[in-house]
Parts: sequence; C-alpha cells; structure tokens
Amino acid sequence: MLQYAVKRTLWMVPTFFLISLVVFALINLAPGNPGQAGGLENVGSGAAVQSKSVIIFKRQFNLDKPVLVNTRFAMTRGDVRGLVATANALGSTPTPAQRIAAKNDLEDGGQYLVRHLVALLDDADPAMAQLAAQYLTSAASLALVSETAGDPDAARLENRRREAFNQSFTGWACPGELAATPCLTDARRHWQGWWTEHHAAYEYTPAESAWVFLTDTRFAKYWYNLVHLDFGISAIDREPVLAKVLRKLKYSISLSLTAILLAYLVAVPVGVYSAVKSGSRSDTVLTVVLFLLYSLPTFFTGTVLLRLFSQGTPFAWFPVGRFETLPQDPTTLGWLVDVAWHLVLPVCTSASVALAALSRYARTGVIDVIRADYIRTARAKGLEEPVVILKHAVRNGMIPILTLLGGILPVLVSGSVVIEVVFTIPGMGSFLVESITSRDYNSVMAVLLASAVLTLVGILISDLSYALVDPRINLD
Amino acid sequence: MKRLLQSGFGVALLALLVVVGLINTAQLHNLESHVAALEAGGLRVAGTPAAPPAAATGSVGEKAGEICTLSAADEEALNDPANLLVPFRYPENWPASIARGGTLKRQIASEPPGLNLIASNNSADISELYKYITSRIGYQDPTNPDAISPDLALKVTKSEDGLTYDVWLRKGVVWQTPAVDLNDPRHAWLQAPHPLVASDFAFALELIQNPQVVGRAASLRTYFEAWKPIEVVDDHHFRIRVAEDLYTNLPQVFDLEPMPRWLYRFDEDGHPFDDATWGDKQNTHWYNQKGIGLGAYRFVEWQEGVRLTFERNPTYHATKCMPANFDRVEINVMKDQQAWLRNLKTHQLDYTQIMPQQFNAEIRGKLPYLGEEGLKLAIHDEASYYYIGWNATRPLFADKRVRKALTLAFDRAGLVESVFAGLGEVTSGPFDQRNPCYDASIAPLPYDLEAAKALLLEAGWKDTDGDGVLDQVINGKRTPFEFTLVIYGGSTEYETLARVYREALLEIGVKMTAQPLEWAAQLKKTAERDFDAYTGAWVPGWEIDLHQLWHSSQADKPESSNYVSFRSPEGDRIAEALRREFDPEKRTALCHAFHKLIADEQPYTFFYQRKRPMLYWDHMNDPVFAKLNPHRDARLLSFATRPE
Repeated sequence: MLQYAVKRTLWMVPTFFLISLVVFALINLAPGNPGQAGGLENVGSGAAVQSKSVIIFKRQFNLDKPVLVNTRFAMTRGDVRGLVATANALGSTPTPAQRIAAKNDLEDGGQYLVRHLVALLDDADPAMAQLAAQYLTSAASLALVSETAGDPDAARLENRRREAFNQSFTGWACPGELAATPCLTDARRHWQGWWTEHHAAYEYTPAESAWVFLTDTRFAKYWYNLVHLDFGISAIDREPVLAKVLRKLKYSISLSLTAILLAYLVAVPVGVYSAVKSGSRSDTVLTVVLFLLYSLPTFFTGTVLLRLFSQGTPFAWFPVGRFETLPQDPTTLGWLVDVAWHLVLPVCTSASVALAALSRYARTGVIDVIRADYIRTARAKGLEEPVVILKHAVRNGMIPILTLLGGILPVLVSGSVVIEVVFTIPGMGSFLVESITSRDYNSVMAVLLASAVLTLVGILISDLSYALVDPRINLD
Repeated sequence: MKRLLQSGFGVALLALLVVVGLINTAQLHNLESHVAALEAGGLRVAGTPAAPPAAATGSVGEKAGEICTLSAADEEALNDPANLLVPFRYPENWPASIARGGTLKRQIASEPPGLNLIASNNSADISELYKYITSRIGYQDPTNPDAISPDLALKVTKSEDGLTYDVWLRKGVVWQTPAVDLNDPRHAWLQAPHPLVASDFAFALELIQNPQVVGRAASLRTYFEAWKPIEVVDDHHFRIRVAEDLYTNLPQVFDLEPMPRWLYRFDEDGHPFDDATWGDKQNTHWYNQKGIGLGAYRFVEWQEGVRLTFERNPTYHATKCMPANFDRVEINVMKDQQAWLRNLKTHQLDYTQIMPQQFNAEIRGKLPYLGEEGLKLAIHDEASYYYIGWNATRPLFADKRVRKALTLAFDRAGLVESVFAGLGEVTSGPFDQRNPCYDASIAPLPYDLEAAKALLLEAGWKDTDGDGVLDQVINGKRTPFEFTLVIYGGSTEYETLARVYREALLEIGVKMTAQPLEWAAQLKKTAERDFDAYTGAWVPGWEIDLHQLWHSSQADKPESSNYVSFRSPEGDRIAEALRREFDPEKRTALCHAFHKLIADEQPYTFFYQRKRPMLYWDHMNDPVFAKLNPHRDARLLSFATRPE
C-alpha cells in the first residue's frame, strides 16, 4: 500500500511535467499575446518608439524566446539578411503576414542576430547596411533584470551597468532617410571597434549551442522559475500571480467547499431513501426531480433563484450577489453570518447539479448492497429494518460516492465561471476566463497548473481510498 | 504501470479539454468587450476626455447655457484675444435644480488593471473612471466639443508660425492627498501638500516617451512621439514645441494630462528611482492600484473585484462653476449584464447601461420595466460607427461597383431594427453623424437586390455554369464569387446578421461564409491583411484626421489601421490638406468631399452608428449626455432628490 502510494506520487512528477508542457504550448500557440492587452500591438504608425517598447515588454515576459526549442544560434547571415529585406520590403514584395513575421523575428532575435548584423554593415547594398545599423542597437541591447527577486542592491547595480552599456551605442543607429553615407561610415567604425571588444559573447561553441537549444526557451525559463516557486507576474497589472491567485482562492474555496458539503449532506439521505423505496412512486418522483435539476444549466438555476428570492418577486430574503457586504466593523461572527447570508443562493445553485449526480450514485450503491447476501443474513437474524439499512447497507453502499470526493478537489481551485459571474463573486473561475481573454499567460498557467496538481492528488486519493475502505481491492 | 500511463495521458487530455472549453467560454464575451478593445487599442479617441468639473456644497445659480467664470484671473485671461480658451458655459440641457450630496451607485463591466493614468493598461471603461479624478489643461464642453474653457490653465496661445504653444497654469491648484495613512511614518514624506507645477506636464511627456513604460503610454506614444521635451518657463508657464503646424496639434496639447512627479518618481519609502530604470518602475509602481489627480473626486478605496470608491475632493479648484454633484461615488464591478438590472431593481444601483439584446428582450416597449414605477429610460448616441471592410487587394473586391453591389444587398435598416433593437442609425460615411464633417445630404444606399444584381452584371459577373453562383475569369481562371466574412465571435447579433446577409447574397448569386473569430484572432487577420471581408467598428475622434485610416501610405504598412488597403490619390490629397487646414468652413468642405469620395468608392459598407440605452431611477435628473466617449460622463449626472 505504502509502496503503491509512493510510486504513484513519484509518477505524478512526469505527468505534471507533461500536463504543463501541453497546456503551456497550447496557450502560447493560440493567436494573440499579452502585448495586445498591454496596448502594445496594432497601434499602427508608431514605428521606432513603439517597437522599442514592444521589445522591452517581450523580454520582460520572455516572449521574445521560442516556445519549446531554440535554434537561433544556427541562423546564417543569409537568413538575417532575408529577414531584414522582408521586414522592410527591400527588393521584394512580401505579403503583410510575411513582413510582420520577419519584423517579429528581428525583434525577438536579440543577441543571436548581433554577429550577422555586424557583418551586414558591410553589405553591398547601403540600404541594407543602414538597416543593419538600426537593428543592431536593439539586438545588442541588454534587458534589465528584475529588482524584486534576489538581492535588490546587486540587481540595481547590474541594471545601471546594463543601461550604461545600452546607452553606449544608441547614438550609432543612423536613423532617418536611407543611405546617409557619412553617418553609415561612422556607424561602421563604431560597431567594428565595439565588435572587436565584445565578439566573444556572441559566438557559440557546439556545447553552448546545445545548451541554448534547450534552455533559452519560454518553456525552460518558465520551468526554471517554477522550480524556484516563482509563478511570475501578471502581464496586465504586473502583480505577482501567486498573490492574486491566493486572494481569489478565498472566494472559490468557500463557495465550492460549502456547495460540496451541502450536496453530500442532501444527496446521501435522498439516495438512501430512493434506494430503499426503489421502484415506488416517491422514488419515481425523486428521480424525475433530480434529473430535472441535473439538466438545468447553472446560469438558469441561478437566475431563477435570484429572481424568486432576492428581487422581491415574491421574496427579497437574500442579496442579489457578492460575497460579503463588508460592514464597517466586522466581528468574526458577524462576518461569518454575513458571508453565509450571501452564499445561500450561489451554494444552492452550485449544489443542485452535484446533488443530482451524487444521489444517483448513492442510490445505486445502496441498491447493489441491499441485494447482497449479508443484508439478507442481517434481516434473517431479526435486526430491525432501520438498523439493517443504516448500519449494514449504507456504510458499504457509500463507498463509491466517498471516492468521488477526490475527483471534486480541482473544482475547489478552478471555481465555477458561471456561478461567479451570475452572483458577482470575484473568484478563480472568472479570473481564469479574463486571463485567457487577455492572454495573461502567467495567470492562466498558475490556475491551470494548480488544478492539474489537485486533479492528480484527487485521483490518487480516490484510488487509495478505494483500497482503504474496500478490502476487496488490493493495490500491491 | 500501463494503467498509470493511461491515467497520466487521460489527465493530460482532460487538461487539454479544459483549456479548449475555457477558450470557448472566453469567447462568450460579447461585442461590448470587442468595442472596448477597439477603443483601447485601435483608434485613439482623439480629444475625447476633457477635464472634470465639480465639487463643493454651496449651490450656485447655474443655469443651462449660462456662463460661469472661476476667478478674476480667468476673466482677465479670457479677455486676451490670443487665448484659445473660451468661457465656460453650462450645457444647454443642464437640469433646473440639483440636490447635491449623497452617494451615487453605479456599475462598471470590467475592473481596471490599475489607476495610473499613463502606466496602467487603459481601456474605454477606465477612461470614464479617470474623468472623476483628473483635470486637464482645458475643460472640453461635453455637449459642444469645440469649446474648451479654462481648467488647469487660464490661457493657451499658439505662436504665429504654429510651432509653439504656450500654456499658463492656474495658481493655487493642489494635487489630491494620496490615499494612504499619512500618520504611518513610512508615508510621512507624503504629508506636505503639493501644488500643480509646469514640470508635472514635462514629467507626463517624459513618461509617455520612455519606452520602458507600457500600458496606456504605449498607445499615447504614437501621438506624442515627435514632441520635443517641454520647456518649463516657470512654475506656472510651460511651452510645447512641435515639428509641424498641424490641425491635430492643439487637440493633442489638450490631451496631455499632468502627472505628479513628486509621487511617481519615488518608491514607497520616498527614495527616488534610478535614472536607468525609473520608467520600468512605473509599470509596478506601489501607488498604481490607487488613483491621484486634480479632479472633482478623490480616490478613496478599491476593493478588488467588488468596487471602487471616490469621494468629493476637498481641494478641488473649480468648485464654483462645476461642483461635484455627489459626496461619494461607488463604482461596483459587475461583469454579468443580468446583474446590472437585478442590482438596479433592488436599488443597489442608481442607474445602469443596458445591452441591446437585453433591451430588446426585456425593456423595449415594456416600460415601466418589470412593473417598477419610477424607472426611466434614456437613449443616447454613441460616437462610433460599425462597418464591413472589403479587402481591396483581393481581385473579388477591387471593383467599386462590386463593393457597391455588396452594400446594396445588405439590409442595414432592417437589421438595425430587428437585430439591434432599433438602437442605431444607418450611416453612410466615416464620421460621427453629429460631427459637422458628416455630410447628411449623402443618403445611405438602399436595400435593393435588383440594383445589386445589375451592378454585378456590369462588373462582368455572370452565372455561366448555372450553379447559382456568379463567376468570372480572373487572371485566366474561372473564379466563382465566394468569400469569407470574419465576424465577432460569440456575438449572437453578428451571427444573425451574417445569416441574413448570406441569404440576401445568395439571391444575387454570391456565396458568403461567415467565420466567427475571437478578438485576438481577428486582430491578427486584419493586421496581416489576411481576410476577404470583416466586421469592424471605429470610434472617430471629434477633430478629424484621416491619415491613420485612409491614407495610401498606411495601406502599405502592415499592422497599420488601413486594413482594407484603401488607395486614392484624391483621398490622400484631402487627408493631407485636412491636416493643414484650420478654417472650420474649409475643413467641413474637405470632409464633405471625402465623405462623397468614400460613399462612391465604398471601401467599407458603412453599417450603423449605435445608440445606447440607460435605465435610471427618477430620483436622478434626466441625464445630460456627452457627445464624445465616455457618454455617460458622471459629472453630468445629478440627483433631483437625494435618495435615502
């Protein structure tokens, strides 16, 4: 048993890795990127300044890196020349999609472009040489490091150094109309001097290439941070994602936990009752009602409950939404009562669906057991019917629905989008949806990975609990 | 072992399904958010938000149309004929009596990412919130956007050559107190009051031009890119130099909003940021989740996911003419449209906007709504227009007769009436219909399938193979008239629209397939010009500049806004002339000429200009609406009687 548990737990690591890979690739490959939400994309004519901002933004979120593997060290001068030509429609008429792709590649290429751009300064085409000088200033520039993690003073010094480095060549860009020859000659001289000094940093040995291939990617950087328990910051408001998630968790957990509890509390007696009265009219009525509940979508149930019980048609017993009213001086008890009052309707809505399914499981479980030999034996030895049912049948009949609990775990985190929206509760569900719409990768990853972990743990718990409560199952 | 692998795979599959499912749910975001995104990322709402009025208790004899002057210094400055500012006037439909005080309870559909005016990601919703707490150089009359009166500045002048603008600031204007505990020793450095000085404007420009700052700065940067640093003459006088004398310069001068250098250049303990990284620090500034400004209201509190609270600003400078109408404003975060109505009905809100589908289903012709006496309805115009854009680089749409035929086959009046709840006006050109630029004499094309057929025949489209779809030989290849229309994903209105349009097109032998796309995917397609046709919307500014959307230089630039690749030498000429024309009448003539050109060329099938309904309780005065976005400018709202 213990061996099995350990084995399963160890297996969770590669499974989790696989899940994170699939989810990460999916999110990153969907059209759009966090920059759009940041107002950085599609602003139209803001050429140079805009692009500078975009590069800084992308580097901060590692969006300049390829998603899974990095082959940029293998780019040739011809490749880079092609990119510059395409992005600026030099000597060819690329489609807009090709131009945008080339522009992105040039923005993202960074250090890998430097040696080719330096070589392109001597290109026979002066327009190409001048563009190379312009791209060099951004490609060679270093991204600032985060000052919030690690040693802030060291980071601050490092940033001063990097900024000084970046400033040292901003004047060599040779902007403006193409082919201003004296400016270009200057740029060549400056950059060649610079190159003699710095070239070592931009040339890759095979070993370095292999390292870059796997590690200089978005996924590798994400995992590096993850291992350090750093979930990153939100691209929308730059707040650490973990802090945000923890704040939202309060709402989702109280809502889901109460709902699950309520569902079980009602489902078990209802299930047992219909099992015992199986086939009777009351069982049929219950079955119909439960199936009705099961098929009603939550947004409908929620809206109907709100209409009936909070809008004064006919009752106005409960608030029309929110998690709490936040009174002026909340005592713990007062606050609890307040929250409970607000949660009545959302919890009922949430529980209504789970209730139907759970009570069906309970009913089947008990019916299976009731037909077993030992129940007949129990009756035969003259035990009273309630004792037979409650002590012998129910305890065994509940095994399947207890193990279902494990599968419910992830709901605690992922929350319910619909219920949160209908009842204006700022929980995880609506947070996840908003993060997806705005392509806030770090937030999406954090929520989905948290549910993935809970799903894995849930499956483990339900497997183990089977073995624990049912001696017929042997895991070893 | 095998079972374990299976369960691992199962879980991965499950995660995948969850993601796919969630992406689908995310698409449920309706048209509203697309428009918000449009307003945020697409066209700048040029010159839209003006400064706020308001604050104080004493009732002044304010009357519709009457002039109000803040001080003797204002009068003196306004007497200077060089001053570009005009006296402040109460809007024409200003309510006769206002019960000042109390708490206004309103809703907002999405929560702002932050309240830093420049470094937070802005969207349309948030520009509305900023209006409470900020003031600008001049106050733009919301009902007459051409009139800009003194606010932070007493006087604005323009040099003879048009390259220099001088701004003289009002004295004694003080920044709002930051919403922190000033008794906390950590915040002691914030205790002293900070007067508004000219360098706060210079700082704002530095913020916008610093590439490290993202958020709203990124979109502002496009417009302020060419400005030289602001020259601070003294604390109350600064000078702006521009490279070229363009009509759009002045609106931009008025768009520049001051930023408190004394706050944003420092960390929470009052230590200044490094010069190397101060720009980046703005994106994560400790005060970004709070707001500060010089407006009628002061930021008090933000309960995440619940509400933002503002209160009357005790140090507001324009109290005399436009006092704050409320003591407090509560902005409740409510994502669900149904929740707006529920909360309105249970008096959790004083007013709310309503979505068209809700309006159609629940309110249109059903007042008093839900049997509630005292609930009133107001409908206002929105400064935006909706359209279908035709990709002119596709051979199918290269001929203007074809584009015209496609417009004739689009039953716009019928759709506005039936699908969009009658909330709109069919439109014929690229301007707000209330803008003098819009030539009302150019009527929208009618719905006329016969005329459409005739035009297509004229353009050489015939059904030669008898399959019911028109065809023509293009580049030596027989091409059927088939195209894909990209529509907003998840909008039931647009799905209905596409169905109706497809039926009509089939009748004239054109086969259209609708492709609903989520916002980001649509942006990608339009930027890459990878579409036949798409549905879109623009919020044109009040001061018209045609360059961004219609100039042929923008057609060649990927990611610029001339998605349809409109190219016209005549159009370019008008666009360039308009940038340099200052005479209102000549400008109108140019605009009208452009309107005529566009109506003839039909690069877009212009659809409609939207109207928006708003429900409010009768303890509020009938709302005065702003002509520009944000239309439900809360400083124009007031109580007739104070609610308990």
